Amino acid sequence: MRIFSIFLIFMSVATVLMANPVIYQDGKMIDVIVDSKTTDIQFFYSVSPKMAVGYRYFEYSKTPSPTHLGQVNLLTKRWNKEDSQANIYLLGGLGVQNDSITPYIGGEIDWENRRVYVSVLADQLVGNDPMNRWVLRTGVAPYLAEFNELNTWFIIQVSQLNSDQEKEAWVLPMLRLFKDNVLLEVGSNGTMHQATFRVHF
Amino acid sequence: MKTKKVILFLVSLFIFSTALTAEVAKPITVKVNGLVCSFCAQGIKKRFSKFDSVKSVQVSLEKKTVVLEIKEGKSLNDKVIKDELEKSGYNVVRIER
Repeated sequence: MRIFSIFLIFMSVATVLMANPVIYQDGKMIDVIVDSKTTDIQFFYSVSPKMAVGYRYFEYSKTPSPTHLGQVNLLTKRWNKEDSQANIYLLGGLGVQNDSITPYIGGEIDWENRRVYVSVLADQLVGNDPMNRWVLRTGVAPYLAEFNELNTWFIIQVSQLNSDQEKEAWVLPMLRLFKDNVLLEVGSNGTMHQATFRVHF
Repeated sequence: MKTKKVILFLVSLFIFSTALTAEVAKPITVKVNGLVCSFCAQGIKKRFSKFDSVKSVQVSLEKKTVVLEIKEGKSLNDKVIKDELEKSGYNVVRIER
């Protein structure tokens, strides 16, 4: 367990994100992430390759009403190397949940090459029903796909969610498929399930 | 009569050489850093496809290149290529013409 914890910390430090919260200038992104606890629907527009603005609908099963957020995602640092890419993002927003103001903050780090990727997301909703999450992901591609081919990734996701109502951590094996501008992801461990649909246009 | 034949020969030669040049026009190959994910790199194709001068865009993750085929009689300068790749989130290493 200690070794696993050290591994997680190492991966967190090493990380960059594969599904970038900021995409190419003038690019639009729709993201729908549904799991057993939350529903997260996002629409973002990248005003530059370093900043995206958007709307986010976030629903958590333990709170009585969803949060509607205006959010800004900033790419604060990118390392483009010959065989890899790494990024650091800051996320911030202001939401409304049940007529109360709900600030949102978060950060994301990722590293990837064509074979392996790792990412870590930490975020927090601050309001009447505060919650925070850690999501650590590491994935491996079983084959190297070219630009126009179907990409397949096997991913292990470790999540921790803390709120006034619960504190829970879980591990999900996931399958990620993408081709062109469409991405689909599904995962389950028998009790927890998650699906993601994402499109860039 | 001889002059006419020479003129005709030169005109034919010009037309032939122009056609040959157009046929073998070399595409622009751009070496790019950070090109590891096809989903993230879709913006490259989308951004360059908006240019009237661009006939086709080929991205290779294996070769780490973006190959731009330019329409006959059109051009695309290095600054535009570099700007568009930076707006797509990538860094240009070199441009080969």
